[in-house]
Amino acid sequence: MGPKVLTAEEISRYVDGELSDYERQQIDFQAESFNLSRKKLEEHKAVADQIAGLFQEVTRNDPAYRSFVRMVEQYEPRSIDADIQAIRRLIPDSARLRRILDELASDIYGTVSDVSMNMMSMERAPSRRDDIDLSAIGERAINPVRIGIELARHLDEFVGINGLFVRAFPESSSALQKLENSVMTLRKIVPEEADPEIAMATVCIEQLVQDGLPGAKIMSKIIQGESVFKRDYQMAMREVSLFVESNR
Amino acid sequence: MDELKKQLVAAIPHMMVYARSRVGHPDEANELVQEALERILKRLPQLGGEEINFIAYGKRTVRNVHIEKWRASRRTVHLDDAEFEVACSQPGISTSYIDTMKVFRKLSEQCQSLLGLVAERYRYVEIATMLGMTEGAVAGAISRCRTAFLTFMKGGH
Repeated sequence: MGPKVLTAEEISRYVDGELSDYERQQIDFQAESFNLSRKKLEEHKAVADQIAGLFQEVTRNDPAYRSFVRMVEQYEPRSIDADIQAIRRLIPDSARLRRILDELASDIYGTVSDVSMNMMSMERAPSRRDDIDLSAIGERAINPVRIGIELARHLDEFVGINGLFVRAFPESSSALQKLENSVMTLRKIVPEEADPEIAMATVCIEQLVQDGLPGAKIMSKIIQGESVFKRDYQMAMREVSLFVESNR
Repeated sequence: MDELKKQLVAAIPHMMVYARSRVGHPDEANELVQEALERILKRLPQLGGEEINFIAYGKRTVRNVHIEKWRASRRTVHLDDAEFEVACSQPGISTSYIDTMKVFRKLSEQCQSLLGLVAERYRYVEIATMLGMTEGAVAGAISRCRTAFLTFMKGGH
């Protein structure tokens, strides 16, 4: 074999030790006899060393590397996302579960159809923009019909959870029943006469928040006219799953 | 599960280098990697039985985390060379390391992956399997990536 310019493949295989002894000797011969090939080999070897240095830097000198390795090694997985499974066990009808999630998601965001799926996904973290819908802030505080409708929707959709809650905490049964009565009244009442019912609902909700009814914090915010963000719903779903897990 | 964890551990250096190539500052890069690892670990139980390229998956998750943080903070994603150098400049970080990183970040993601894998002593046959290429294609691509690195190193585009 006479002198020639080494090919890209020969160069990379040589630099990375992918050649047999005989093949290496041939490449060495080429490099010794042809300056251009030698220069290419040396340059590529230098690049390989430089990049190897980057990786050595993180694995040898960065304390974070060791803590990351520990983090992975010590991670104890829960069985196929226990939170979601708990919700699915509670609401086995997937169409109904989907509807509940859509209801929760669209309560504030209206037309954002994929929000509920994001709530079920741990890959996508919500951005701040997703969290805040400024247009939702406003009229909420003073319209008793709307408050009644929103509260009723939460109570209706979570009727299974509420039933479970009452079985676990029978002393909360009365507050939950009073709240249901109040929200039914709020849906029909004129604004001028709403204050006593809102006060009654507020007391009941505060009691239920204290007792730990999943989603009660959202109801509390609704009745106080505060903005409810997607994170609130995510927290509510977390409360639901924890509650279900702890009461199985 | 243990096998998946091993593969994920093997991907950590790549995630760290990739994160640094995006943000420069080691602490910020480590924060990105930590968040990315947390996300992947939460999903790990669902990944059993699937063929996963954790290096690609890890880097994609780092990128997602970075983009989401950028959206949240409205910060610049792409630093120019001068900004990147400032972000990198920390005690214990050598100038040669910063120079190498400045060039490395200009490479395509495929080149970063290829050169990173050979830097970690993976054999061509393993790299070919990971990246879905033939061995010959791996060899040629690595050489081209190193040539590109040299070009950037010498100030070319």
